[in-house]
Amino acid sequence: MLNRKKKIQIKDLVAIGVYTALYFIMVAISALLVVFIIPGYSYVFIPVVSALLSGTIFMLLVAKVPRFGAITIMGSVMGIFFFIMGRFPGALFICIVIALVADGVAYLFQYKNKLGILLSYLVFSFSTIGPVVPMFIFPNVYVKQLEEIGHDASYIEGAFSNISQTTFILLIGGIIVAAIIGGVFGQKMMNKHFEKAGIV
Amino acid sequence: MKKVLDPRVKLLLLILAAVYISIQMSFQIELLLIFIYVGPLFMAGLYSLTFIFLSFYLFQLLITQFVVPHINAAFVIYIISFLVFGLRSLLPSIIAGTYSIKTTTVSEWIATFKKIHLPNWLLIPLAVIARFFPTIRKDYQRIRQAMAFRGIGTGFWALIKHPIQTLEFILIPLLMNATKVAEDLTISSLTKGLGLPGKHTSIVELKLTAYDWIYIVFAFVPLALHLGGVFS
Repeated sequence: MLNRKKKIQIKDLVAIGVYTALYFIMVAISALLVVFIIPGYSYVFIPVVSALLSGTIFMLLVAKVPRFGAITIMGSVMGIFFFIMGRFPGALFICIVIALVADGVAYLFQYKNKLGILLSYLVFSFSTIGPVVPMFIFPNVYVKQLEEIGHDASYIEGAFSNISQTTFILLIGGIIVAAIIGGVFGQKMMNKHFEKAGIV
Repeated sequence: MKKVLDPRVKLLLLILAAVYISIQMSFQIELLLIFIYVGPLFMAGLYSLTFIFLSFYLFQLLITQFVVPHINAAFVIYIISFLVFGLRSLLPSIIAGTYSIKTTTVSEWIATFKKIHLPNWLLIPLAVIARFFPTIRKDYQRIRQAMAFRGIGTGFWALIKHPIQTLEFILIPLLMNATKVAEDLTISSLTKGLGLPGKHTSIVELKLTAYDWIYIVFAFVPLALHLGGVFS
């Protein structure tokens, strides 16, 4: 804290880029895995799998760039990726906001406290729900269109909100559990490999 | 002759697609919108993609017309609804996204971001990611080879059978490599003047041609029609 500059330098930006690339790949792998299991519906649970897999990357990022902005930038760049790929545009906004909050949490713990960083990872893991949000918002739109085709409105509405809610709760719960497991695994990996090799 | 839009127009298409998602437009306008968005794919010579998107859209329309009225199981309707209604409003966005990725090189993206004055703290990570992707692939292949030499984690089911092991053996070397690459990349780009103030030159030159301007106008047409109450 004495000599270390508090602002992000160019070498930090390069490191952030590198780890974001890996994080993105983890999300892509999660998408592949999830689609193999139950095509169609399981798309919603991509954030859960990615939370499970990406712990090490996040922990490394925080260890290498323990300054405010690293996490925010990683989240924002992910958001930009989602946008350029043509996913739900709100995803960009969600990514930036959640990444900011996660960064804030880590900042409060000065990027050192292990529990604090785990908490930050938990928050950050929600940033990938952006592309999945349409599945929850759109049902109201469907209901009208389904009505026009002749389905019974109240039945549809009831059923939809049920499924929506259940899926939503499963998703949130899944992310929380997965983030804790993935985060702890990541911290273990840090201990076992990176700290001993002197990379951190 | 194949023509590709300036990346800035692609970004415009993406942004407008976001607007179009939230609009409930009449069928004629939506049809027009899809054709406008598929146009650049066709003009760029990506005929199979053009065909795929158009057929998918047709598929969605057919299912809406003939299948949905007859299904009553709520869960099935939920999923089909997403495929047929939700994905339909997302379609322009997905088309624009696929087009952007298929027809823009990394250098073009970087040049575009510089032109629209994207700040350094976004520009540099994006550039790094682009340079880094091919390296990751090579590293991954080398790691899998090394693992095969030792008889670990071979075959597709390895991830499911020994998830922690497979993850650890692939991810950790990749990450160690990544850290090293980050150092090298920093040194090389700083040597090439990355951090210096002033204008940086670029190999890619971006200019807006007539084709771009025509499309800028086209992109707004469905919006204008919708706001004007045409076809309502």
